Amino acid sequence: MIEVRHLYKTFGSVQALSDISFSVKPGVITGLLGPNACGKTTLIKSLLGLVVPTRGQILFDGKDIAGSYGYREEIGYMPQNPDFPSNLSPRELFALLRAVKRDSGLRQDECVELFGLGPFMKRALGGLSVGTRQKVSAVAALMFNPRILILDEPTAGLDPLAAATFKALVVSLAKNDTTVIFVSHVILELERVVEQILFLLDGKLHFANSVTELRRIMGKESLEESILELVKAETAVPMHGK
Amino acid sequence: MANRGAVVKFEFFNVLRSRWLLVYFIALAASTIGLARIVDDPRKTQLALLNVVGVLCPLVSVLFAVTYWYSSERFTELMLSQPVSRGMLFWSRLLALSGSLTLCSLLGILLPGLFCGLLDGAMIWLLAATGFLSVISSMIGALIAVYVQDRMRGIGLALGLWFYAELLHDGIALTALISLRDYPLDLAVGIWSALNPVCLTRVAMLLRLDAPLLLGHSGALVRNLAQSDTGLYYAAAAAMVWLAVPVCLASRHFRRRDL
Repeated sequence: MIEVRHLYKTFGSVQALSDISFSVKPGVITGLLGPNACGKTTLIKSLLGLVVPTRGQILFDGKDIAGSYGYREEIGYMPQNPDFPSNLSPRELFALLRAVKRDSGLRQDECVELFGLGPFMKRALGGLSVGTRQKVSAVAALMFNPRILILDEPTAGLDPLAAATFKALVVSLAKNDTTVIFVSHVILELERVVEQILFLLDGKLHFANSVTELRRIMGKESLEESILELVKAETAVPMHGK
Repeated sequence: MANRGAVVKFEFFNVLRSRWLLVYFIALAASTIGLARIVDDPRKTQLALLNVVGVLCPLVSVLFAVTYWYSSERFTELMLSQPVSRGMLFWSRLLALSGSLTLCSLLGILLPGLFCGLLDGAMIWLLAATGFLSVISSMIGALIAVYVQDRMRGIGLALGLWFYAELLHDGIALTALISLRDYPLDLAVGIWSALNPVCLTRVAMLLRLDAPLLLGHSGALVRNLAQSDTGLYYAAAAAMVWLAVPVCLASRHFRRRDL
């Protein structure tokens, strides 16, 4: 379980995150939404320890992650724009990740086959298309059967078939108690997958509750309309668990 | 816990696969062979090689290190999303970069040096100087890339530092010597020369090669100091500071910075 308590982050004079508190339970797919530069990536990077919070706590299974890195053993991460050493092949990349994690990566072959990466396994990553590199990034995130999956715009650049395959895999992992945080600008895409919404605006968490609750509060049928209403609303709606 | 060996091995071979390192190796080897063919006297060849190494090694090492750190930025994020500590990644990359650059520059001089019959005591000193300059420059490159987030500014700063080490430092010394010629400046110039690792290396090497006429303005004044035991300890201490300070600062900042 992930728990964030009163998280703040400032970059110089810019307040990127302000008093963020929420929790994500195992087996729940949570959509992290918000306009550009609202702090989504900063929040994700804080969870991964790539950004050091100014104040606040992040707990994984009740333990504070500050200064530690062992907890990342359990995480699969798909960055927004994956960039690998250009002369490395997917096969070498996966071998490196297996060696680093001391894990055999049981799902590697299955994921490689699902995304049709077989013919590209020995080719240099620098020569692959953006979409193919995104598939490589997906395999790297999924091959270890992670307990926590953090996905930053994971379907950007993927063809519709690969995107559908990816989402089906994510849903199946969540059914096996994997915690998923899914960042996307495509609300329609999230509507079919996520159960909980975290909505950020100007570095503040304006909504943290289930999709059903969001629809009920906003009185709209679709998630997209509900989000639009949420943006228009001047005051924050009640937070999850309060 | 992450496999430290896997990270070090990957970084090392990833650096070694760079085509630019091969170009660097060929350039050094061609310079060594060319100079050995043109100049008959091995001692003069070594002196000429010292000048090539003094210019080429810091330039290539600092630029290669800076660009490698910048181009690995996104991959650094991916690696640090694995159970890898920042310290482990930093030291792995630093060792890989300085090790590969040093290996490449040493082989680029040693192999053709052996072939051309240049290997003697002075050549060993030249190789040591080459290694020292490669290690220091790659560490300074790491320091720049870790502190300066803007790639263009970082590369500009690296070039600026190289320009300072090659020309500006001696130019300032010359200007000071002319302007303040009535004052005793030995100690001041000794301290000043310690502010440039290229100058330190050149002085140490030229004293070993017994060619003080080529010391340059600051080097000539520091000769007396450097020939004494105190001077040698002083030069060694300055070299240690040049090795330790960039690494400590870069490591400290890398552990704390936001990616």
